[in-house]
Amino acid sequence: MRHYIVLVLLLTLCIVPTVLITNMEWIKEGVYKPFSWDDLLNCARAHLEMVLIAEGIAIAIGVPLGILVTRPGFRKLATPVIGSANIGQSIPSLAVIAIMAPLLGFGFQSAIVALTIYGLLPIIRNSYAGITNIDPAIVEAARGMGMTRGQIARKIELPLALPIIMAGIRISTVITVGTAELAVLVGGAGLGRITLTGVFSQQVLTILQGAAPTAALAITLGFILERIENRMNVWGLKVKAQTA
Amino acid sequence: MIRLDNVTKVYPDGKEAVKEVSLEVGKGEFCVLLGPSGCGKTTTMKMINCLIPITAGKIYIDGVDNTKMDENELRRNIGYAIQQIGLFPHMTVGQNIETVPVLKGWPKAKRSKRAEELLELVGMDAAEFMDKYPNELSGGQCQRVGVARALGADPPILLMDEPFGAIDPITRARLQDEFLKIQQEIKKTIIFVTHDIYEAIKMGDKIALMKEGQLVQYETPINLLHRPKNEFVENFIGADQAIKKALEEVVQRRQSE
Repeated sequence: MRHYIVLVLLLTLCIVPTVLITNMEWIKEGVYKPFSWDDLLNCARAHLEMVLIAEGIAIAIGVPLGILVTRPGFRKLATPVIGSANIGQSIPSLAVIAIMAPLLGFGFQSAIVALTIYGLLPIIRNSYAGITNIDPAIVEAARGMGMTRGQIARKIELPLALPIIMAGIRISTVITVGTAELAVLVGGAGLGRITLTGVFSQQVLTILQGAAPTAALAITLGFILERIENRMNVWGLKVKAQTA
Repeated sequence: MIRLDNVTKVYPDGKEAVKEVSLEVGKGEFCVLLGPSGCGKTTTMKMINCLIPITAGKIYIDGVDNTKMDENELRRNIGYAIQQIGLFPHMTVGQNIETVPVLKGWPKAKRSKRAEELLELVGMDAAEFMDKYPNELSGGQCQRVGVARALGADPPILLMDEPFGAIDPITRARLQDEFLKIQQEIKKTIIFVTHDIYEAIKMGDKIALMKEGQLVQYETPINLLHRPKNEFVENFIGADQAIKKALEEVVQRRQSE
C-alpha cells in the first residue's frame, strides 16, 4: 500500500507541472510559448518507441548472451563478455551517443544502437548472475534425480534466474529512459527535444516540460516491470540484483 | 544388489580419491560409508549413480555394469538425498516430491497420491504441507521432504549423503529413529555416507570404514566394535572407553529390538 502512495505522489509531482506548463499558452499568451500538446505527445510517443525498440534488442541479445557464458564450453568467455559490458557502461552516456554520429551518421538508427549498447550491461550481468548464483546443491540434486541437461536448464535454472534477469531488464529500462533524453543529439527524437530546447534557450519551464514527463515514464515503466518481477518470484526467493 | 569391483577414481588433477575399493551390498541392506572427511566416501557414492565417472574398476547394479546403462534412466531408479538437500525453491513441497514421477511420466493422480503417502511416511501432514514452498519450512522439515523426494518413484536403491547432517542433534536423532522405522517398512538397499560413528553404528547393517581412498574394514557394527582390524579403526571408533561404552549401548539396543 505504501508502495502505491509513493508511486501516485511521484507521478502527480511529474504530471501536474507538465500539464500546467503545457496549458500556459492560454493563460499567458504571448509571454511564454511552451510546446503544444501535440508536440508533447509526439515526443513522448517517440521516446517510448525508442526505449522499447532499444530494450527489445538489448533483451534479445543480452539475456541469451549472459546465459550462454554460464554454459560449460563457453565459460571462458564470461570474463571478456562481462568485462567489455562493464567498460561499455563506464563510458559516459553522452559519449556513447555522440560517438554514434560519426560512426553511423545522424538519425534514428544511431540513437537506437547507442541506447541498445548502453542498456545491454545490466541485462547481461543479471542474466549471468541469475544462473551462476543458483545454489550448486540444487543443480546437483536435479542431476542426481536423473534430469537431463535440457530439463535442468528449463525447469530449474531458468525459472530460478528469471526474477534476477527481470531485475536487470528493469534497471536497464529505467536507465534507457534517461539516456534516451540525449538521443536527439544524434538525430533521434523523444522528449529530449523539449528538454534540450529548454536548455539551449535557457527556458526553465521548457526544460521541466521535457524532463518531468520523462521522469513519469521512467517511474511508470519501472513500476510495471517490478510488478512482473514480483509475480515471477512467488516462492519468496531473495533477489540480489546486480545494479549497474 | 550393488557390487563394487576394484573401483578407483583419479581426478584430473592427479589426486587419487578412491583406491581399488571392492564391496558388496545385498538387497535391502543398509550400508554406511564411514570415514573422516576427504576419505573418498562421497566420491564412492557418486560413482554408483554416475555423477562422478569411474577411472578404473566396475560397479554392478543387479549384475549390470552401471556405465552401460543410460545414466539419466539409472538415476531415476536410484533415490538421491544430500546434506544440502537441494530442494527446488520455486516448486511446492508436492512438486518437489513428484520430481522423479514427473520425469518418469506417471499420470497426475498417481503422482499426487504418491506424494501424499510419502509426506505422511516422513511424518508430515500432507494437507498442510503439500502446497508450501521450501522457504516456509524448518530445517528438519526440509530434510524430511528431501528424504520423501528421494523415495518419490519408489526406487529400490537409495543413496544418502549425510542426509541428517545439517540439523540440530535432537532433531537429527529423531529423524534417524524415524528413518530406521521407515526402512523396516520399505526395505530399500541403502548406501549412506556419514563421518559420524554414532550415526553409522545406529543406522547401518554394515559399515564400510574408509581412509585415504581405501576401504579399511567392511563389517557389521558389532564386529567393527569388537574386532577392529587395525589401529586406525580402533582410533576412529574411539580409544576413549566412555565413547566405546556408549557405542556398545547403541549396539545392544539395536540387537534387542
